[in-house]
Amino acid sequence: METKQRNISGFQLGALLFISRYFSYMTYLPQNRTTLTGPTALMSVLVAVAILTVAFQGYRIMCKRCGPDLFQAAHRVSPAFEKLVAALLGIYALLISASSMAQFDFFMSSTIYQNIRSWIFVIPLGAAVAYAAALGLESFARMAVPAAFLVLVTVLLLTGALAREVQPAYFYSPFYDGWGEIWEGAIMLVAHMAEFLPLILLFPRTGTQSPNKVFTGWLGCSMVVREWMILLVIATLGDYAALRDFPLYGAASLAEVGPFGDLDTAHIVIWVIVGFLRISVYLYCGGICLRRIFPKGKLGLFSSLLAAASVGFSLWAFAYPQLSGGVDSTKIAGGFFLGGTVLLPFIIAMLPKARQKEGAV
Amino acid sequence: MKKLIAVLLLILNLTGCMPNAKLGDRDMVEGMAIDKSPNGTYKITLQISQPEEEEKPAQPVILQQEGRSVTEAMAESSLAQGRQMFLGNCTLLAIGEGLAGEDLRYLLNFFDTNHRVSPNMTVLLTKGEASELLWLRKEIPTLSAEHVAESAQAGRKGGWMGYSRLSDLTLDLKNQNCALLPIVTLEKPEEVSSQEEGAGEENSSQSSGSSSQDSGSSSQSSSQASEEEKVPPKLHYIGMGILQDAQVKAVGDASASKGWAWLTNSKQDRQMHLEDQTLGKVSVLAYSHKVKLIPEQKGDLIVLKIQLKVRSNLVEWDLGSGEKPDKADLETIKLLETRQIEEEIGAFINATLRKGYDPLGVGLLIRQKFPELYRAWEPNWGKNLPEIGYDLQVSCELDQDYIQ
Amino acid sequence: MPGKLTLFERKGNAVKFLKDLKNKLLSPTAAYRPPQGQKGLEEKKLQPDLQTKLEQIRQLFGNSGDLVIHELEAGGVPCAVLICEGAIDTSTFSEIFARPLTQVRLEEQTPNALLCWVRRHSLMAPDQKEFKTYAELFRFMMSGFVVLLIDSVPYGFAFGIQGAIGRGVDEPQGEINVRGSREGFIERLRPNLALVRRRMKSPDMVFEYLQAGSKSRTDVALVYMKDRVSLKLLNEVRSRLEDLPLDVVLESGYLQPFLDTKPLSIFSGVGFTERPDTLCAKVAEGRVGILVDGTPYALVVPYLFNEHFQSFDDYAHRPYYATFIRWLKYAAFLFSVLLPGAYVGLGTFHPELLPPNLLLKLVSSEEATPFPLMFEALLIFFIYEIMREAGLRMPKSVGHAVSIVGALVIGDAAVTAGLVGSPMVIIVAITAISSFVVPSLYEPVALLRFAFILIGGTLGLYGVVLGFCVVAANLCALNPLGIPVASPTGGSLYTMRDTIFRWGWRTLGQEDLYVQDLTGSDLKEEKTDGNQTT
Repeated sequence: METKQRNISGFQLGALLFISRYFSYMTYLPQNRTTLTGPTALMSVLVAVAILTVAFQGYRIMCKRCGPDLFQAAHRVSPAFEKLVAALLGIYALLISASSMAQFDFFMSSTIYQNIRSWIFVIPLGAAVAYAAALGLESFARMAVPAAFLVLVTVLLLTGALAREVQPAYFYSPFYDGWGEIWEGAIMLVAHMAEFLPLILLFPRTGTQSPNKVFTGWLGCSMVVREWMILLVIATLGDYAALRDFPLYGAASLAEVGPFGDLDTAHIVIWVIVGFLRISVYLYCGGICLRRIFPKGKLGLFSSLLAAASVGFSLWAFAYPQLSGGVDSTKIAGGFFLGGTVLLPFIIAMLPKARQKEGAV
Repeated sequence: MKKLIAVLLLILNLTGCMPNAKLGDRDMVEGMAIDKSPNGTYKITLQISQPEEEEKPAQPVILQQEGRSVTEAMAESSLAQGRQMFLGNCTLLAIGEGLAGEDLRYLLNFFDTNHRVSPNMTVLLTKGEASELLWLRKEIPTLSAEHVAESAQAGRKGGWMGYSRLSDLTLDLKNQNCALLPIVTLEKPEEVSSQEEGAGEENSSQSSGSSSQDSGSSSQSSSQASEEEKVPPKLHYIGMGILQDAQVKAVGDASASKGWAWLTNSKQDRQMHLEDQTLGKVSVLAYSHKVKLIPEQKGDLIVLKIQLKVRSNLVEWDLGSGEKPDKADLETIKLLETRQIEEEIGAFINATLRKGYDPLGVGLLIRQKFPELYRAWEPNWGKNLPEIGYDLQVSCELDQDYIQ
Repeated sequence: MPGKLTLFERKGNAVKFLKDLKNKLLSPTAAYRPPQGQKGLEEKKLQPDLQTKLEQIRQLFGNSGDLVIHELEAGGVPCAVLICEGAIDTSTFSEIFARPLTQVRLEEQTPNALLCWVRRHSLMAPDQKEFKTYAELFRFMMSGFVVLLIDSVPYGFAFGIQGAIGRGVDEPQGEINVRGSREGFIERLRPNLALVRRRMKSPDMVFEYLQAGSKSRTDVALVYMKDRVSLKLLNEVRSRLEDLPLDVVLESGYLQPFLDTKPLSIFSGVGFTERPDTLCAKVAEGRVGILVDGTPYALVVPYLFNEHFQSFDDYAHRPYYATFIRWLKYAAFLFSVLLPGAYVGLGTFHPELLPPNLLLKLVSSEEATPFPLMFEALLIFFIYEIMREAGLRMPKSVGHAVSIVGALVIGDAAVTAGLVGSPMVIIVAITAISSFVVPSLYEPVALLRFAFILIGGTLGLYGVVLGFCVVAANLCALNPLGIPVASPTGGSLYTMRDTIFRWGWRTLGQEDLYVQDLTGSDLKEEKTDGNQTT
């Protein structure tokens, strides 16, 4: 188990966030309305990048004035405030890990292992991610770098294999549905940008003062890949991409690579790795929030509890999809994003008590 | 390590929770034919591949079941065989004439939701009963569903038709609500004589469509030592079915089907027989073609410019004089080729676009270039589509190197 | 009610009962010690009187027949020569020790004069040591030294005239290279140290002697470069070896668990090598090498995961070929771990992912077999492990019989009888050969293989990938002595210049690699001082 907190590099953190973002695109479900696809999404992504850059300024200012550690800054205000902040962010982390697990479960049981009870996937996954989170940040952060590389290789393979399936006629103007749709798509994307949470909580573990490089690198790469994947999916599936569950998987099923057949095996492998890493990150974030509230507790115990809660939510979501869909809605997710990762750092940065003393580390 | 052992023990407890079947307990379905039975239920015919044994060719198993849905019929088949029906290897789906006129969405949903089915499965419409296509294997053991699917691939490469995969069908229906499927028929021996007077092209089309049959025939001659010499049925591609709202609404003939092939940018080697009283007979092989569809607005009208560039090789010629074709002959050949292509494309347009069917995705092209106009036309697309004009520009080039 | 326990008391008793049960089951019982065991040998210093010393030695040594004591006078001074029979080189003993000692002429026939002569005016052996305690006396004597005790002197002298018992320097069997030295370590420590010293002619290369095992007093040498090693690392290794709770240390593997941070982890952060050139290369990167007397296997601390895929040959070949071989090794490792599990998982749950022709062939071969794929795989791998272990232990004369049994029974009869399918035999063959491409990882591979077969048979491809993620996380979390085993997995190609690729020497030679400098290392900020050794 994590015996000592170790630092990771900014690159590893960026890779982790990239993987987490990729998961969200893999799990596109039209009925959930967590994001858009289609040409409108191409513009929405660009608008979202601009909004996110603005949203990030709160944390950036906090880093300058109070240091990169949000909890330390909150502690300087008051220990009770620190606990409150930890509780808020911990709930957010739990929400994301639970909904990620539910989406993962849905993919497995609806596409790969049809007619099989969902608990058979979810319980081993819960155990595995709890173990990874308990091992500590370094374990899955280090894994993220080769995993990100693997994702990029798969994207390249997919591009090459789908080249002959491209139908230029499927493209149309991203402004076709008007600016309203573009803004709606951008807001949805921003609201579900849960990666701000691990960025804020884990950036202090990189040992660097300024988060600009990590943020720029991560956001840039993620959005470029996302745009590329949207383009590819539109080019091969057209409007059907907006109607189909897991369109990326649909595109991978079409892609044929010579004698090796189609790429859906590669897609499934990437899916599991990406899902594992994403859920581990949020469980770990939840664990460190809980440790702030209960300092004597062990990370292993917290990650197990959070994993169990996520598993429970996933099974409930499977049984009552209408109810559970609301948990991951734009309003709730957006509320946490805005409150927890945009406004909170900004507010802390404005509090005189939270400011770092001169010469303090 | 203790935790790892605990996890492994946990996993062991899951043994048996995941339903699966031994490899040997599955039947590999090679091909599937779906018809409508007289009492309104679905009749499915499954061609099941058998593993080859030493020194013995594989014996095909043909299974037929009925059910209120495809799922029910498949379940009945599994029950009858005592094995799970495995569709991962299914290369052919044949839809019978009786079913074609109905809403195929219900049927297509079965394949869409079953992740084991390959999206590259060939889908064909059959004149008459689709099951006859699979039963044919009893007479010609080498004519398996896989061979029929390969024959369709050969037909596409030979320029008889466009793509006919499940994925194309699904995507076309979802994106432009219109799709095309090749229609195949089995030509029985007594039908051969009545069709001998048909156009030369139709006879030549048999050579491509029945290529597998030639091999089938040759195997038949070696395998069948019957007293009477039977002429086996032949596979014949007679045209294309036009689907809208997942129903076959119209049919295009073989010429229209070839026009369809010209308008898709797929690699093909199209053999064309050209004959002229002044020229003689020539055979060209069009090995490369590139088509561009460009909608243009001319006032209130939309004109679809179709630019087709074809490169061909002159393969055979019989000019009467016994000499090689000269420059003037080559020009004539190109002209004849162009005319034939234009006729075929024209037949396609008349069979589809002029009747309000949009398998080419012209609407998508208009949406791409003239979004406002498309928005205005979209509610009555079926009525607006025939109003579109066409500007067909075909240019043919012959490789003349070997003639020099 | 009197006599009746309250709920709280009952609960307390239950908790106490469970704790006692746990202690009984899991805690070791009090260790047994024979009554005649001796303590405090380390502290006993040599007395000045010769006879007292000899008496003490005879008492301590007991009835062991290999103790030889010669009492003589050297220069008129009573002294005694002690040897272990068979441990010394008798011809050298006579020539360089016995003759000078017996022919010494002293101006004053006093013990001090003889002491002075031995210390300053004689050179009876190149390796001459002085000691004060009985523990050291026995250690030297049993290491093949000749011990000289002088009357009235509370010291003893040891002279290194060891006999050459043991095998000569030969090519290591476990690490054969196509292009490279054919010398490997042997069982004796000092020749091993000489092999290392010959390759690194630098005064910065330090050999630090320790002892391991309170009874065996095995000689252990720490090998490091004082200008490159991390002092924190060195101190940690030293303290762990000094605190070793073992009585007997006969092999370097005894020390390995005490150097590992997580001894029960699947992968180890401590490696071993039989090659002096490999040890030198590792030590030059700031690592600590550990040579143990009595074994040709030297330990290297810390040992990164990617080093299992490196061999000395890589650095002699051209970079593109070396890189190809690296990839081959990575692929072989993945095959050996994942191939059986993936095959079982795909065949059981995802046959649609297999190419159709292959699937038909698999179906035809599996049709006759009575067992499910998972069971088949477990059975055949278990039999393979039995055969492999038998092949290691049995006499060479019966080797042929085992080969025939293995080939015929498993390869032919089992397939013909329909017990296993022929594709499974092919999978076993590929897996078995692949696992020998990286022999140092055989132990974890063998266990993981079984685990993945179980997982593949129960959860399919999903389970195999998830299991792989768990193993990877476990590997990435390993930090033996503060350095992550999964390093380097950096973002730049340059950091991977000797892991996935093997770049040319012109690039590799630009910058020295230090293990303490790797990303994620706890020892990164430390600056080494070449003069400090503590």
